[in-house]
Amino acid sequence: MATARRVIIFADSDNTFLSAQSFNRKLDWQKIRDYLADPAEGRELIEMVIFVGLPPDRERFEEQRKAKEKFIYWAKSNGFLVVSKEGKAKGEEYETNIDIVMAMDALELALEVRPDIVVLVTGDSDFAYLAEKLRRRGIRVEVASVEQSLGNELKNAASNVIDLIEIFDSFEQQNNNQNYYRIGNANIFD
Amino acid sequence: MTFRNFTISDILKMLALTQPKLPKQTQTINGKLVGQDPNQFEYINSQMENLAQQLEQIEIQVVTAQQQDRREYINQLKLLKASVQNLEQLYNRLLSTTIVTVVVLTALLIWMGLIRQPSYNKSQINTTVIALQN
Repeated sequence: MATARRVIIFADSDNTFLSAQSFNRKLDWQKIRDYLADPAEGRELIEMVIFVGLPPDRERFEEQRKAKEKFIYWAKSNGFLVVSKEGKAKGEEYETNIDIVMAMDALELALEVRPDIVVLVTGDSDFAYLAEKLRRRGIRVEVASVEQSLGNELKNAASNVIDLIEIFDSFEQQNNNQNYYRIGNANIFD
Repeated sequence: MTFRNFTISDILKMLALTQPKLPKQTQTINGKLVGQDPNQFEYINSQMENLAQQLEQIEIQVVTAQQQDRREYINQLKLLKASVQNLEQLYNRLLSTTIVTVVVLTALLIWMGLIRQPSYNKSQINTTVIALQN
C-alpha cells in the first residue's frame, strides 16, 4: 500500500490572522491543520508549529498581549507546538521579528526530522529563501496562503502553492452583519 | 529436486525483484501533494498477476535446471562409456601379450631342458672310466 507522506506545518500566526481578517473570517487552526495534513489524502502530520509574536509587556499592549496569551494557551492544549517571541515597542506599534525565529526553527526541525513535505502557512516573501533552502535539501515545500497576501518571491520559491481561500470560506465570519468580498476576485461569494 | 544454478537465496532475491510494483498514484489537489491508495480490488488483482508471473518464472527455471541436469548426466555417461572401452582395449592387449609371453617362455624352457640333458650323461661316463684306470 502507498505510504503516507510526512508533513510538518510551520505557521506564521500574525500573517495568517491578517489574511483571514481581510476576508472577515475567524481563524480555525484545527481546520487548517486537518486540511493541510489530511490522512485521507495520504498525508501524515508530524507537527504543526505556530509562531506567535507577543506584544511587549507594556500597558498599552496589555489587551493584545492577553488575547495572544489566551491563544497560545488554547493552541498548546489543542496539540499545536507554539513558539513565541516577545516583541519590542517601536513607536505606536511593536515588532517581534518572529519570522527569523520561524525560519531558523523551520530549517533546523526540517533537517532533523526529514519530513517529505514542509508547509509554510504564510504569504511573507521573507520566507522565500527558507523555501529554497529546504527544497535544495530534497524537501517539498508547499506554501499555504491566499493569493492576495502571497508574495511573488515566495510563490516562485515554493514547490507548490495551496490556496487557502476554500478553507477560509468554511470559517465563521468575524462580523455577521458585514458583507465581505474575495480580495482580488470580482466574484461576490455567499 | 536439486537446483544446481539457483540457490534458495537466489530464488528469494528473484522473488524480491518481482515484488508487486504498484503505481503510486500521486497528484496535487489545490497544490497539495496527495497520495491515493489504489482500491482494494485493483490491488488484489495486480498482486495475483504478479504471483502468477513469479510462478511462471519459477517453473521455467525449474525446467531449465532439470534439462541441464539431464544433459550433464548424458555427457557423463558418454565419458564413462569411452573410458570403459579404452580399458577393455588395454585389457585385451595385456591379455594377448601375457599369453604370447607364457607360450614363448614355455617353449624356451623346454628347449633348454632338451639341450642340457645329453651333456650330463657324457660327463658321468667319463668319471667312471677314470676310476677304473686308477
